[in-house]
Amino acid sequence: MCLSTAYVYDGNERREIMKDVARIEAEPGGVWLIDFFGKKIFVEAAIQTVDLVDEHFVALKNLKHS
Amino acid sequence: MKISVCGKGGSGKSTVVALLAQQALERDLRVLVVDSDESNSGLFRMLGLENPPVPLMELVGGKANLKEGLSKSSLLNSAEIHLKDIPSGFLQGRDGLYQVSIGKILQAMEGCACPMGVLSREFLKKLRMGADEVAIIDMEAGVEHFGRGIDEGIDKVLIVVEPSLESMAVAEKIKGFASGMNKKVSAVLNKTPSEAVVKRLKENLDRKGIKIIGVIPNDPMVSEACLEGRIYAQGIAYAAAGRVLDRLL
Repeated sequence: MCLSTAYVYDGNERREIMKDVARIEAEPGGVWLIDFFGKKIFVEAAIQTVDLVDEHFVALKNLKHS
Repeated sequence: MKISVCGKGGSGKSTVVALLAQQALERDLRVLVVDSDESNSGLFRMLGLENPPVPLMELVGGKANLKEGLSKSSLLNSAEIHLKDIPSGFLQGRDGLYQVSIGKILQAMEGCACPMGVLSREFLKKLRMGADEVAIIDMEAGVEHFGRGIDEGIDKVLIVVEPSLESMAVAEKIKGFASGMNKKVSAVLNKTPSEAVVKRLKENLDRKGIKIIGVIPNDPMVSEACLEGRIYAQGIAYAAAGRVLDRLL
């Protein structure tokens, strides 16, 4: 499935923050995640990895505590 | 109850859906047919409707507009969806029989059908049917819908098996996937030309552990009606579909 699940990594800890992510917009200081049904959240994080083939995930690195 | 009708392409899923829907109507049930097939667009005719419903994809702005608007739909953001909640236009019907459609691939190079998979999964998960209501889902051909989790919100899976080795192989895969999701699975043999063929199909499916709840024999009147996009709600195939429905309910 092209739509992905987004996780935030804080050190070795992984936290799921959104399913069915349809759009990601990067801004200074973080990214906007928008799901298929229009829910929109801003995360103070940077994109680490995007897997579009196997697991369909977006890994974000928490910028808050780094 | 929500019944998903699955099987190999060409096994007769849509015809079986239309026969079951008409039989359910005769049992005084309100029937919602969910067209979850991204390709074929003639189901509304088989259900005796004049026009197809507007696809639910339009509720999220249409596939082409996903980038711009994404969803402002209150229907798909609500926790439960009942028949009465579906806006007119998105629901076509007659005499207690209704149809909704998830969406169709309309042009070449338009991209994948993943958004329709998400919409289908969420709609079916949230759909609530009353005691006197039944939803019959005309699923896309093959098994990809299991990978997408579309069947998560389904109560029962009915596999349509036509007389071919490939159809039986697809049935075995469906049985495995659906059982893995803790769904009740059964099969109906469709378009069978003779008792001898029925016997061979039954032997094969028995070995695969697939429970058969009915046999819909080949009916030339059904084939002729299909040529015109209609359903033939009489005769041996129709009566057999009624017995299948009784086993499902």
